[in-house]
Amino acid sequence: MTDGPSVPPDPTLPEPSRLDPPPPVDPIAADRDALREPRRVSPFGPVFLAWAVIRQIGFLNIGIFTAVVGSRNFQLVGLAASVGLMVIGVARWWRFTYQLEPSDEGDQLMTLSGVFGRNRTSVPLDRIQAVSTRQNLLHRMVNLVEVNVQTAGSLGAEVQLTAVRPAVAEQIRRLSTATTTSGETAEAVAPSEDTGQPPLPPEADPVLRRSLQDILVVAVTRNPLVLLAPIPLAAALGVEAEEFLSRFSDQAGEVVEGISGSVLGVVFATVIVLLLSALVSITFVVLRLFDLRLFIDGAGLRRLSGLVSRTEVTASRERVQLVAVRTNPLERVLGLRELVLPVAGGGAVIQVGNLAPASLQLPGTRPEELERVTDVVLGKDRHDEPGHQTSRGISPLAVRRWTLWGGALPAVAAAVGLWFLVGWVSLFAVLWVPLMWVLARMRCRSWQWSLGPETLRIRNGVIGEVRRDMPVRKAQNVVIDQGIFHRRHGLADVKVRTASRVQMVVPLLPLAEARAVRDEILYRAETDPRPFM
Amino acid sequence: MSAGGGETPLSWRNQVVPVGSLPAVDAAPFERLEPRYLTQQRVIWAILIGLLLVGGIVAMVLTGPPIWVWAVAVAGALVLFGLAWMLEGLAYDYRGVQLREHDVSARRGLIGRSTISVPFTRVQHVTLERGAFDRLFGLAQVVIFTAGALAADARVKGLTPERAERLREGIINRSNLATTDDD
Repeated sequence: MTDGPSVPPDPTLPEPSRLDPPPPVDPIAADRDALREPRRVSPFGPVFLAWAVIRQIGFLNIGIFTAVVGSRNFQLVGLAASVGLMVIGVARWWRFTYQLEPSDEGDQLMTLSGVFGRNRTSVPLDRIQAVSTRQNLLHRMVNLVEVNVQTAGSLGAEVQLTAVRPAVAEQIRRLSTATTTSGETAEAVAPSEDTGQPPLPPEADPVLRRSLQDILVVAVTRNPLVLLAPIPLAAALGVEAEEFLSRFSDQAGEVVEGISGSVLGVVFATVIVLLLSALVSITFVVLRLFDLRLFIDGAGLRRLSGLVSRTEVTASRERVQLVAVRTNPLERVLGLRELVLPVAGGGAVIQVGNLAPASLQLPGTRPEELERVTDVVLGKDRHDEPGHQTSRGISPLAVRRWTLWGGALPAVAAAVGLWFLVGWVSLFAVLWVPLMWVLARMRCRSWQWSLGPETLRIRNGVIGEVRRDMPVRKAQNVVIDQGIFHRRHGLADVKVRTASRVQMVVPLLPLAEARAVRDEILYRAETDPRPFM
Repeated sequence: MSAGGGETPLSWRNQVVPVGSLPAVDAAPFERLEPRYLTQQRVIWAILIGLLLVGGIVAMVLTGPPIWVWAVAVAGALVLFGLAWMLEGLAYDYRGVQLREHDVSARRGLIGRSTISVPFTRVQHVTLERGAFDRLFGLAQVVIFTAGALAADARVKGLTPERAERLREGIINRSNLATTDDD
């Protein structure tokens, strides 16, 4: 049962009798006991740790090193490097142990690491914000997972277990979700007693599941360029390839035709390059999102996805800071949304070997699924909340500001810059201004926000749409910002930060209104006794 | 927030509050920073502009331009310093910190202005910083962090070490009180 060599099991535990039926076991207590003893990660650990060292050094550096030093004594240097890697891997694996350690303030997940020094990291279970697992191809071959334990404080994962059995990840997950912020252990099924929300029923079926077809649709909506694919295909079929090529070379001699030919060639090549890049990114989307599923149960939300490397992110619903919905024009036509649930403390900051996904990203979500997930995160009665009946807009002066910044300034810069290249034609750049003015007008009209006792909502977008709903009690700070334009017109931006990386901004409100909004958000955040994460 | 309604375990009820009756951050005064802080900022500007001028002088000695270039350079440096002097004064007048029962607010800015408010219940930790220039002028900074922040939420510069210590203690005590109240 242990993950590699471990301290022998506690002899004081009674041997289970074969005749008696097994006594009912509290799963949480069982998990806790299972993790009490210091353990090493799987015996395969050295391989993963050596791989991590390679990733840290970087393939480019290794390539350069091989080219410069290793070209003469390739075998010798290669051998030395491999041995070195093995030694490092084994040493790190040997010196790294993890265990659950009791303390005055509840249990802590404690790791000891460091080959020469001794590093000790303790994370109280109630401080864990998200537990995510990842499996790359190597992990999947030996059925192990990499576990990243993340708290609110820092960017990366505080604790990383390179390769353990999936059951260990499960145990840590259960323990962290069963431990409430007060340090007490609650029932796994009813973690929400202090939030005043009804406990969630355990669900075996995913709330949301994406088939390969769905994911292809998502991939295409993100790279609409691929829709151009039929054009070069049709061109290639319509004009037979040989004929096309021969005509191309024939005309190369003639000046005028030559130019048109080369222009055609350039256009053709550009389209091909764009298509290829779109195909590559679609491949990555499919690899990343393959078999995307979202489960909601008493323990919170759990998202799984991936074809080659599999990722699993878990967070209790209190730890979800807001509901963000993005829709691009194509998705709008298809009735799909991109739902993002940012979790406290998370930064989607890529750190080699310490990757900790911090938001639950759910592209291609259908309206009814969106509704269901939002119900869970924000509560079902959010629709009856007073304050949202009349959504408010922003100052019409926004049109002037956006036209100035997005239209007039770039247009003047472009006109001046291009003047020396193309002469008076550059003045056409000024046509950009009315276009931006129209867009700014539409954008300003589309801007809506509302503040109820429970949630702050913003919504905007002309062709696509952005929507964010934030529980007001999750505000970490409120900022009133004024630039020079704002001050001239008596306006201000209200910016509300949550414990996640996503912030809410309501721009260009009259100063008095902005201040009133700030005061109300502060009041709500200060008086609400419910936890914010 | 009134308590009542026995249905939820916490007796958490959420009544509509007339917004006009809420305490307003801007209705209360902001405490000004130490006058020494203004001096410090002006001295920093003087050093920066002085370095610039020295660089210019070295360049001019090497190239030997006509006399009016010298005059323009020196006058430019003086004008620049005068401007910095004046603007820092204006910025100093706006800078300030306000401690209320449940939150701390800090404001700053000259052309653009910014007021940040942090509820005590959200404060994760507070640090007290003294850089070389702060030590030279007998000043200290209080930096406030909340959960999930990449960088400091609020930074209150230009306090005497004693005042900074008091502010830090105040925030820590109140945020502790706030959390124990909740539990």
